[in-house]
Order: sequence, then structure tokens, then C-alpha cells
Amino acid sequence: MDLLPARIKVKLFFTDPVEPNDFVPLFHSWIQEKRFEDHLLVDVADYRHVPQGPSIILVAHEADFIVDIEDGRAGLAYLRKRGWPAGDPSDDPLRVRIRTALSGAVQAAAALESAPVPGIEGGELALWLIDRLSLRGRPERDPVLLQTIRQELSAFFATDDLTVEPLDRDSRRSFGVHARLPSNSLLVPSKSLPA
Amino acid sequence: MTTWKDELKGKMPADWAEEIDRFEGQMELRRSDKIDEKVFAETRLRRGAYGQRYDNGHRHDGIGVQPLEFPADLTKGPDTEWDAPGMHRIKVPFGGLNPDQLEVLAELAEEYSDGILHVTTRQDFQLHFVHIEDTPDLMRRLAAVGITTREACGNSVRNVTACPLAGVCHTETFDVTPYSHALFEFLLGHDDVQDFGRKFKPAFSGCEHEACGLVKMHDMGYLAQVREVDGQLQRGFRIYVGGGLGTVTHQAKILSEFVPEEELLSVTQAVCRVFTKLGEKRNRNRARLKFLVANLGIDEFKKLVFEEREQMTFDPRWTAYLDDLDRFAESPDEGAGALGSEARPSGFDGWFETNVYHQRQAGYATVTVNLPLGDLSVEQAFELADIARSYTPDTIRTTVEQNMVLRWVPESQLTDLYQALQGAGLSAPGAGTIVDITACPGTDTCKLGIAASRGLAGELRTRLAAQNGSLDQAVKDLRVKISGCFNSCGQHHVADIGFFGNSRRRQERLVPHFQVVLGGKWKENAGSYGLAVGAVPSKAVPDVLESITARYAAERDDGESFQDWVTRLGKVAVKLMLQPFTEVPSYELDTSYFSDWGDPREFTLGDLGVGECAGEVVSLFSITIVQAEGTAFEALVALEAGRSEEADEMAYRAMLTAAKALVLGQTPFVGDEPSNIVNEFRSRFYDTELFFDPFAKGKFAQYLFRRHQRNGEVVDSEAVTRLVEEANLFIEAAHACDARQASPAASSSLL
Repeated sequence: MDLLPARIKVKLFFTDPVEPNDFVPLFHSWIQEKRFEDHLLVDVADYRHVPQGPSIILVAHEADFIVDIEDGRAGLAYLRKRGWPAGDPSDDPLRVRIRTALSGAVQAAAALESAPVPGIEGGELALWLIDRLSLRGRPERDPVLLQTIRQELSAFFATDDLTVEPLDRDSRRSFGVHARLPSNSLLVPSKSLPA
Repeated sequence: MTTWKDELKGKMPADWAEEIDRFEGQMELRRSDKIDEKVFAETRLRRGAYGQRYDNGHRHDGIGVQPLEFPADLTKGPDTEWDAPGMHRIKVPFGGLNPDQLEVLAELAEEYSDGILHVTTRQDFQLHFVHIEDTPDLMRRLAAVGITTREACGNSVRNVTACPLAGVCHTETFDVTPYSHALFEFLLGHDDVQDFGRKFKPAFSGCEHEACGLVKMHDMGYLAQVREVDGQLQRGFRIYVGGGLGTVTHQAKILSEFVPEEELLSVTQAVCRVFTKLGEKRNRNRARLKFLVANLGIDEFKKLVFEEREQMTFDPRWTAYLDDLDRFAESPDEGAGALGSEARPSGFDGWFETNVYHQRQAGYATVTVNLPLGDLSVEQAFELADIARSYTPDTIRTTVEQNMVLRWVPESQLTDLYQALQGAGLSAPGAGTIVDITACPGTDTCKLGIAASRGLAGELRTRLAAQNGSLDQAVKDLRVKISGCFNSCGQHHVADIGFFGNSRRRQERLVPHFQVVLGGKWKENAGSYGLAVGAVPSKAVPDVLESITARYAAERDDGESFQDWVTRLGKVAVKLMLQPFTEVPSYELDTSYFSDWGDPREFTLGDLGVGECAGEVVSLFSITIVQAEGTAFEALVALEAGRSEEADEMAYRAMLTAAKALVLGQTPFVGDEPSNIVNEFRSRFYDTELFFDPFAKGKFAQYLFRRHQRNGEVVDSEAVTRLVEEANLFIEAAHACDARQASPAASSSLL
């Protein structure tokens, strides 16, 4: 597909309510540890005071790792911004980008595994293509786009048992989908809260 | 592939589009190394693309300074990495905005920034973490809805601010909105404003006694006036020049009691021409208009301006806008109505008390949307645009207190509006009260930030909001403003209680501190400036604030203002009140003092390390600098008592003692003779640049040198007030210099 969104955001949901404050030292420690080899981690932005927003952001050159409470549900979002891999020439470039964002989200969720914060919900995610120029003129429930996203999710999670629904959001907002996956296909198993 | 340039062709003003194309061309030249990084830096600044913390490719991660290895081998300015995230400032003349524009701002925040729109203390918006490559399209999308970022930064005419109540206010002389917009249009890109040595900030006010546009703290301020000529009322402005906060404050002087409206633009142009011709260009620390006005004296400056005006050729634009003053007239969508007697939603009454202003036009209200720390999310911005469409004739304005207002809301719809705002998380009460704290970006994103002004503001806001119901009304009415450094972007000088960030060394570690500034006046257009009374550790500030406000509530006389109370109390008593909070426990006892609010990293960590801790040994510097601080305080007391000459002498001695404190670290043979101290200090700390601040360079040393050179010469009380402030800044610089010497790697941005 000849659609190359400049940004893609993937949000995984927490199993339990989170205390955004806990992520401030955690994200700083990730910077100290250079936690992700393929990301240049720059700084932590604190927006805990903003309701319905990105609460805490670990800003990297390539992507942002966000404790996202924007839609009322707390989640860990991975927002890929730049440094997109070229991918195989035979690959659909949009699918390469979606795959990159999914990988980033999974990588971030895996990094949370050992942290004293709630686990990640197993069977669902949300994904947004953030680029109004590329997406202008497309129908709100563009079947081709939905199909492409579905194909990539299916390939990435190695399952056909999934549903992909467009997010019923304000038309001014970026195109997004909500996906449900079988819980046993999850990359990051749900974990319990620390005692 | 279609680009925004193609997509928006014909939708942007032609000259703005051309300007953006030119900038894009300059980016290309910089990429191919065909223009110098310094030239490119000024170019991008003039388009609003500003640097951001860590863009030099280094960051202290709490353990040590680490390189940030951005991919591109290219800079966008001296010591500024191309790929490093930057801040983009967006001008909003008089703060006026419509919902379509707000939506575009939200889109840009989502696509190019970190998802947050930030309102500044000059009615601008700022987006943070923006990549330079995204800036041309960002500018195009704004231009297509009539917003520019041109000259939002750099040595240029910055946003033209105005009272957000202009046009609906009970006490205004007339609506200054069209005049502020005319000035913005006239000066934008004007040939006569392209060669300033520093920035130039204009502001408009409709009233004299309210805070309104804060004209007295601006480079150029315009206060609406009306006079009668031949039986006809004539509109005009009292014009102020040379005001400013910054490191050392200047109260503006009156250039003219009355400049008729048809001369508004021409006289401003004349001021700009004089500033261009005579303003300092090489030393940026002395380059603001306030220094030129102070150096020449207001009478000479005035003479030069009006001589310049006489020589200027008539420009039809000077008066053309007067035919179109109604262009900004607002009329309501819905009929006026009183607030009904229906059940009020929970929280409504508190919000109504603080966030609703009853307009001059009966039955309508202006509602303040209180934004914590000036921030709102993309989602909130879209929702607010919808709310503005539903309840107002598309009339939104930003405020210098980092909020937004919705104008022309029929009072009968206030409960519905409140619920709509509540749904968007935008119904926080307390606008214009002690809870509504203003803060600059500080160490969050600013390259010059010393301490976490936003972290502190967030902490104070949370604590104050929790006790809002129990606070004394007099305390609720106070204003708190915080800057991350001495540069005053948080406008701490005009708050009842202000704070600005600095640091102190405790053994081998640095401790974030804030100077407490008391007694500034917000009303009367920033009527007077507060004075620094002492530094306290950052972590002690909430207790300091509680202590000051509790004592004010308990001891104030009936109707006594905070300024009057501080004056009555006297600086000595104020200093004593702060004393218990100044102690910093040792690191071993309490590490919390060694990090700042909202940032768990240790404030700084020097190369000396814990193993070389000086332990209980108190250095000569520590002993002597305390003496300097004491003398500076005596200067403040003398100033307050009207003993101007004594204050002048004390401030001078304080600087000499601070200089001596540093010199003693290198040689014990300095003595007390002023010339010896100055000479030793100059050769050891100034000529070697050891005293140089990373950003302000040798500025603070000049305070001492100038005073030393003036030896004995009498100056006016305003100059003495300035010298007392300079003495405090010199002492801060000495602390920073000492800290840099102790732990050079950890203190790149101390001052």
C-alpha cells in the first residue's frame, strides 16, 4: 500500500490502575541503563497534571514510550516517529511500518515485566496511523486499510483469530483501530501486581 | 507524493508561504554546509524554532554526563545537534484564537510534538520535542489558518500581547484588540525591526489599575487613553518604554502621555529605528531596550525618538487600519441570559466564584479555562474547540497566566458549559488565585533552566488545591509565579510571592534552591517588582510558602495587601522567617534535598565523588560567601529604609566579598582593598573565564566592574535598586562558579 504514515502509535492496556508517578524513576532508570539498544533515549517528560493526556513520556529520538491515559484507560503506548527501517523491497511498506511499531510496543511491554507496575492486558491493543496528509481523502472505515492492518496483526501475532474494528472516534482524530487477540497469543503475559 | 506545500498552495498568505519556502531553502543550505551554523541559528530562531535542553548532545543521567549520539552529523546552531528535539513557539497576537485554529494546533501537537499544547506567559503556544525537519510543514499548516511563528524567537519583535478581557472589560478605556493586531501586522517582517541586538516585547492595556496587559514590564507598553480635542473624543495611548524583567528589572518610563491612535504605528516605528541605531549589538546582556533607555535617560531617548519620527516618510499603513477597527468586533451567537435557579452541578459554585467574569455586556460572561502549568492535551484541545463553538461566537483567548478564556458565554448556559468542561477535564477552579501558579518550562525543557520550576509549581498546586477550601480569602487571592532561573520567564518579580531557581553546594554535591522574591505587584500593569529575600532549598519551598501565607493570614491588618504587609514586616523579619528553612541536611541523612521536584536524578554529581567528600571541612569560600550574603541583605534593608547611598555601598561590598571568597580559593593574600580584590578577581576568574556562566558569559562580573569603576559617584535610587539585585546575582554566580570548580562535569548550566 502506498501509504506511509509519519507516525504510528500502538497502545497496550494495563491490567490494573496505574500510578503514573511510579514511571518517572523507572523511565529515568531506562535512560541510565540504555535499555533499548536501537533507541536513543533522550529525556522524561512529566504531564501527570494533564487529565486525558500522555501522563509520563520517555522521549527517544525514534519513538516515545508513553504512560497514556488519553482515552480514559491507562496503557503503555509506543509512538514511532522516525528512523523507520527500510524493510524488504518485496514487503508492503505500510506493513513494515506497522510491524516496526508493534515490535516497539512489545519491546516496551517486555521491559516492564520486571518493574513494580501493573502488567499488560493480554488480548487487546489499539493502533493509530498519525499522518493527516497521507490519510486525507480516505473513507473513515477504509476497508483496504483495515485489511492491511489486519493482515499485519495476524502475521505478527501468528494468529487468524483476531478482530480489528475502527475506533469510533471524532473524524478530526487520527485513524485508529482496536484489535482483540486470543489471550494465549499475547506476547506479554499478564502478570500480577507486586505484593 | 503530495506534500503539505502542494496541499496548502493558495491557502496561505503569499508572503508567509514565500517566507516558509525561503526557510526550507536555508535548511537545505545548512544540510549541505553552505551556510554557517550561527547564521542558521538566527534564521530558525526568527521562525520560532528554538533550542531545547540537551540539544548540545549531552545529558546528566543522574550518574554522570552522557553523550546523546544523534544520528545526523550536522548542527543547527553552535553546539546544537540537528536531530535534537527543539521547541517551536507559535505567536498568537493578543492571544486571540478561533476553534479552527485551536484544532490545527492540536493536530500539530499530535503529529510533530509530544501531544501537549503549552500556553506561555506571553500568550504564545509552545510545542516541545519538535524535529527541525518538521518545522516547515508545521509553519505551513499554521499559516493556512492565519497563524505565524515568524519572529516568535530571536532578536525580533515578539508576540504583541494584550489583556484577554479587552472588549468585554468593565474598566477599560476602549478595546485595544484592533490596535494590538495592527501593530503585529505592521511590524511583522518590517525592515526597521530586523537589526535589533535583542528581542523586543510589546503589550497593550485597556485599564490603568488592573494587571491587564502588564505594560510597565515591557519593552514597549501601550495604555489606552481618551482625551477631548475641540469637543471630540480622541483615542490614543500613553506609551511606556524600557520596562523589563530579566535578570535585573527595569520599570518602564513614559515616552509620551498621549500618542493619538493615528500616530501609534509611526511612533513605534521611530522607537524601533532608534533602538536599531543606538541599541547595543555586541554584548547581548546589555542589548535590551531597557538598557538603552537607562543609559540615555528618558528625556534624551524621547528627544531622539520624536526627532526620528519627524524625519520618517509617511507610510499609508500607519493609518489605514483605522478604517477597519470593527474587524475585531465580536458579537454573541446567543442572546444574553441570567444564570437560572436550576440545580448546580457539584463543584460548580467554587468554579463560578473564581473562573467566571461578568462581562460589561450584561448577561454574558468570560470564562477562564484553568490549565495546570499551561498545558492541555490534544484530546482536550479538540474538545475545547467544540465547546467554544457551542457556547461562544468562536472567541477564545490565551492569557499571560497560562490559561485560556472563552468569551461571550450567555450566563444562562454556564452550568451546561461547566459540565462540558468537566467532561474534558478542563473545569479546574481557582483561576487567578494562589492555586493558579505560573511557571516557565525550567529544567523540563529550557536550556537555561537551573531548577525545576514546573515540578515545584505542580507540587505547590497539588498541595494548595487540597487545602483550597480552608485557605484564608486573603491567601487565596495571592499570586505565585516561578522561574527556573533568574531570567524571569515565569514573571516571578510581579508576583506576591515569586521564586526563581538557583543552586547551592553542600559538601561536594549541588542542591537545587529557589530564591524567594516577595512583594511584587501584579495589578496596576505590573506596578512594582518584588525583591529577593533569600534562597531556600527547593524541597523546602512548600513549607516556606505555607509559613509565609499562614503568617500573613494571621497578622495582616484589615484590608492590608500582601505588599504592604511585607513592607510593614521589614526585610529583617522576613529573612528571619526563612531562616529555619535554609538548612540542608547532609546527603547521608536525607538524599531528597539533592534532587529536584518531579525528577529523581541527583541534581548534580561531581567528578570528585563521595570518596573525596570534604566531610566537615568548611572551605574559606563557604565562610566568606556567607559574609557576602549578609552584606547583600544589609543592602536590601538599607534600600527599604530609603538609605539609598548606604544600600549602594553595601551592595558593592557584598560583591567585593563574594569576589574575594572565590579569590581566597586560589591565594590567601588578597586583603580588603577593593582594587586589589577586583584586580585579583579579574585576572584569576574573569580573564580566565572561570567565572563565566555557560550562557550569560561574563555578564555578572560586569556588575562588579561597573560599580567599582563608578566609585563614589552618586546614582539615583532606581539604579541603587538595580545594584542590590545585581549584588545578589553576583553572589549566585559566585556560588555557581565555586560549584563548577568543584564538579565541572555536573554543572554545565548552573546559571
